[in-house]
Amino acid sequence: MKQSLWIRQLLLPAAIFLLVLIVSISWLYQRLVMVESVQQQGQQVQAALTEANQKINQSVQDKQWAGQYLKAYTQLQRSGFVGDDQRLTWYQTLVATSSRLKLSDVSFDIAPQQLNSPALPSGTLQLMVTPVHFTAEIPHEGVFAQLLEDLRVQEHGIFTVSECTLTLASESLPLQTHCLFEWHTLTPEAKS
Amino acid sequence: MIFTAHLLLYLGAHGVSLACQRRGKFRFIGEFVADEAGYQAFSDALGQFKHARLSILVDSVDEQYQAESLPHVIGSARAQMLARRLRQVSRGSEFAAAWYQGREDHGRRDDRYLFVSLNTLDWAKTWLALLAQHEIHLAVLTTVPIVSHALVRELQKDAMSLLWVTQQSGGTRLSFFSQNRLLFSRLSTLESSQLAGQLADEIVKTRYYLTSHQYLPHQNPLSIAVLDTQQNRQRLCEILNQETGLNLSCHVRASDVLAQHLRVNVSDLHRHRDIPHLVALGRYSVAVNLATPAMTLGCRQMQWRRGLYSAAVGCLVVTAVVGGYLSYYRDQLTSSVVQSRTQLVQQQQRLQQALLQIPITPTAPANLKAAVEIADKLNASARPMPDFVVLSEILAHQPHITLTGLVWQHHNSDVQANTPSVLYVDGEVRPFQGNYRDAMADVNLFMAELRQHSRIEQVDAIHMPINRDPQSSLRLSAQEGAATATFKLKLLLKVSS
Repeated sequence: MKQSLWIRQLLLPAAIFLLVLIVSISWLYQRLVMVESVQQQGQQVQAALTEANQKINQSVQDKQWAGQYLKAYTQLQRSGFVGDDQRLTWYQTLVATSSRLKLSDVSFDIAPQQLNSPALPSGTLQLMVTPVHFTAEIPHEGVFAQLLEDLRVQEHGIFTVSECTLTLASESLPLQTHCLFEWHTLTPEAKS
Repeated sequence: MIFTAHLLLYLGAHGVSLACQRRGKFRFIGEFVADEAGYQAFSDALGQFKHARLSILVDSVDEQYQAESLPHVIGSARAQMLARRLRQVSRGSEFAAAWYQGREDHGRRDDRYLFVSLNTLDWAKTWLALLAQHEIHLAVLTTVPIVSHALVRELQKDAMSLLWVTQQSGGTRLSFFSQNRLLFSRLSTLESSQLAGQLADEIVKTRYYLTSHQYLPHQNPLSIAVLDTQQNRQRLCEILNQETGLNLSCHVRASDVLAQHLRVNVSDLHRHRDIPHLVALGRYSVAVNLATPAMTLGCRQMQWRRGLYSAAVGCLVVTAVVGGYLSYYRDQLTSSVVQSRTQLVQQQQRLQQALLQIPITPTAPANLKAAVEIADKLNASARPMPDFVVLSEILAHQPHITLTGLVWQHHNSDVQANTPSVLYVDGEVRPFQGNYRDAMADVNLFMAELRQHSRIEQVDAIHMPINRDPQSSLRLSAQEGAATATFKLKLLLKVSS
């Protein structure tokens, strides 16, 4: 009885306290949610602003690079460096050059095109390599030098020499030549 | 609500004294005699203190004090032991409590208790009924000696054995303290203590009583402190300080000193003898509360109600402060976001303008740059003929050296790095007539010339005309004869800049 009277006496103040507590917590929670929402908006705007600044800097750089490299790139496209494998042209070039220089016992083997290793760091370009095993008898070193120069100046990719073995059995005999040439081309966009 | 009045009531057989303390300030309200007029005046005085907190100071002959030492136990065993002993000591008293007074200094170091009991308050029913009518909530019910203990601690800290003599409206009370522990108290009627000689006799009798009950050894001195609120007790100390053979020393606490200590008006102190104890009741916490839980229920309810209302107000204040700060912070953030958005719009416009200025390209400008740089590196990669020319220059000074084969290697797969080219040179010394020493000298000379050339970084001999290594065998057949003096070298050529 006394216990229930005790509780009844405290019911109103306890209810008021609870009501105040609930209202206070709700209001504070609502304030906090609003603050968090504005903070999130601020972070998003800041991220967008940072991205825009980066893009502006990048556009300045792009403009500079475009002005600096576009002409050279167009030249490379024309020369066949930027583009597909041109083994038929290379074959004809090798045949024509060997014939013009009067090489004997000429044989060559154009291997399948392969991706250059290690790959380029940019990731949007792929450097492709086509190895060519070339064997011939060459009258003297001058012809050999002419052969390499003729192949280098042709405009169907970039020609490099990876390895060459020259054997002279005697001074009266021609040079036995065995070389590994490489033709390089660049695929503009990565093939995913 | 926070500074609700605290009513202080001295309750004696002949009447009551009422005082009030609010915000620490003491105010004496009045003395009321136990008759119809006194009850009416008391009721009228209470009218302005509805729901106030009340502390009652009882001063009656129904009080009992019994000091005892009990074994030192703790927890529920202690509670059970004290409850049992309290029932035995109080012998059915309505109000009783045990006061823990520390432990003995010797022996088993028992716990010292003072059992305080008040037989009944039936004689004060009218006063209590009036208090109940005005919904005044009882918080503390205690006795004069308990409050005297607080006064002694404040005013007489150094006395070993002290007889504390105070005069209230209900009579003169003699309370004995040993080392600040209350051990005994008795109330003399006003009639028996009115004259100094009579009171001196009462004190001497009390001295004998203390000795006979072993509260105070016979040879020990006894200090007597008299609270002289009426300024009429000088004669008492003159009598007691005479040679009585009881080793007594009496001194008076003058009313002006007392008033200064208690921070009350001296004239009030002269008029109302209950003021010192009422002040102490309001100011100091008392060691023993004789009120039963049922009597203090209203007070506890009031405290709970006040606590809950105070908590609600505190909650509102904290919410208002924190919520206000959060609103302010949100406004700051919002203005910052608005500013950032404006900047973003400006930057996006700048970006659009910048993008329009970039010429149309077949691929990304970064790819243009990469393609041109790769082409430049491949075009600049090592070629065999310049390296052969280096070798030809040196061979022009070496007529005895004839080449029989060349292997040129250069791996340009890693376009990012400049790799040097390697040249393997096969040759022989001609003419050769079997003189290996000369042949070796020619090859060594050839190698020395190669090393001196600026384009050649390193020269290693893979094979020499004759093997001079003392760790390997050297064999030559006389029939075969010495046909050729061949050698093989490895040249590491620097990257042409």
